[in-house]
Amino acid sequence: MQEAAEGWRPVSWEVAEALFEAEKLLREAAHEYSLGKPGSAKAWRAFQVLDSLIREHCSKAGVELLCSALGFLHSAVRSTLHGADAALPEERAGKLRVADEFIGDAERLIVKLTGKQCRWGAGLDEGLRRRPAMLLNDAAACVHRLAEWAARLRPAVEGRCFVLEGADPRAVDACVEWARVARLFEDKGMYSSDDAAALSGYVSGSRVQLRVGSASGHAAEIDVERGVLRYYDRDKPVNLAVKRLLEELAGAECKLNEGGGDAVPSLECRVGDARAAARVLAAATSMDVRLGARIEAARAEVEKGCILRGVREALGIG
Amino acid sequence: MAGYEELLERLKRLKVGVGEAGQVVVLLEAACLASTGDLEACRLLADRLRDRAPLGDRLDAEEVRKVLDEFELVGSCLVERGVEVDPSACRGEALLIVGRRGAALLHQGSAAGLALGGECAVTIGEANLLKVVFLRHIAGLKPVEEGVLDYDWRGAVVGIGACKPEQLAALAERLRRAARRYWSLHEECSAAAEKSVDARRILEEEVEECRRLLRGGGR
Repeated sequence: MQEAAEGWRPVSWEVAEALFEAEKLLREAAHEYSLGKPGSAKAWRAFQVLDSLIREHCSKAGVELLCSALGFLHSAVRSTLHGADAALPEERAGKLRVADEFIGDAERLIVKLTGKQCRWGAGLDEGLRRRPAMLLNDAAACVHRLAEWAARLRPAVEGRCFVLEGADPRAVDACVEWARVARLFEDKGMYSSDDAAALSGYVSGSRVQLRVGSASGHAAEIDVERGVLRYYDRDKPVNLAVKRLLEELAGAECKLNEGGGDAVPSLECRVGDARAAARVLAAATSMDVRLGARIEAARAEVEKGCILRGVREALGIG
Repeated sequence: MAGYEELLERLKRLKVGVGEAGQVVVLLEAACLASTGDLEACRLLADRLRDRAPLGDRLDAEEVRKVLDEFELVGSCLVERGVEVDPSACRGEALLIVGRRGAALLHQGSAAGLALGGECAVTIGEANLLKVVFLRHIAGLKPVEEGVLDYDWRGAVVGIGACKPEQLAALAERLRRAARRYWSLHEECSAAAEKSVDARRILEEEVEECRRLLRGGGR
């Protein structure tokens, strides 16, 4: 892994930047497809970004894994778009199947390169996994892994934040604040060890992308220029709690998307104070675990009392 | 020890422990507890005996004698020499072991009742009383106290408060009946607990804690 990283060093900054851009376009395209809108324009732009990356950078030595993975993702996006536009059902199914296989091939290489899987939809059955929205979402997640890998070639600021050149200082500030508060929550024992290990932030342009947990797709992004926050989580109680905290403590205005959390953000907010919003996102990590523990403790207390009463009654005592 | 074979027969009927060696280990641990009240020493004794007879062989007669020679069989009671017991406590199926420091009632299961320092705990269903009491002891908790000490769907260990050894014997039949009802009791209690959980209140508590931390740690 390190050798490949060395091989990338001269070009990594712009590669990471371009990959984050491709990821953003793919996510937006997936979102549009999931809402039944034509999302192909953005997906084709993402395809062009990947295409340029391959042409400009993949002749260099030491980048075989990255370039092969990029090649598969590039083909996957093209096949998805052809499948989505196909007139005949058989042709559509065939193209989407091929796209699914390309993403699977890319993921295997990405695991070799980064040690981490990337597909959110891997566990779904074929019918769900091979929808254009899900395929583009998975492609975006895999492109994100590659972007993370490239961005990490640069030393982190504030431990968990990786900042690309030319990043908006407000975005850097938001990421640093999130990392600081995440450390505070971690020190208070509020995070599971898996979640704590997964936390990372990437700042590119005006966007902060935060990996806020170990579950696939548990992420958030803030665009400080546009004042938009998107949060991805399928756990409804956690979404409700994060929404309240964002509204109360960061003055955000949030919309909860029922059924969102993968291709579609579960929360979409307008935020004026990106730093305060980033701080709140530190609370989202492991919140499902904490809620589960609270529920279990409350349940056990009632159950124990009931058993004690039942036993005492059965024994005729007290 | 006189009456040892008879004692083994009783343990077999009560299904205390697995195999003869397992049964005798439970008996010796319970007798040790009743005599000394020293949870740690008695657990070590039991572990040592189990290690020596891993294949269910007969235990070293000398080891058994060391403990049981201090006891005599009186009706259904195994009583440490020099200790007085109300004879009415020694007429049941269960085996009541009475020592200087406490008493243990062996019935269906590995242990059904324990009185130490005047406080009693009982086992309902399939649960290991001695193990639970021991674990609480080494965790620095009171050996026996009122309340549910441990439970799952198979059985529960319950501290029932102040009681005398004789009262343990009187509970034997009720314990057996309660064990038969335990599964349905656990089911009822689980359902009641499930219904009682107030998800909204729990979410509120979580939000409050996060709010406190975010305000405290915010600049």
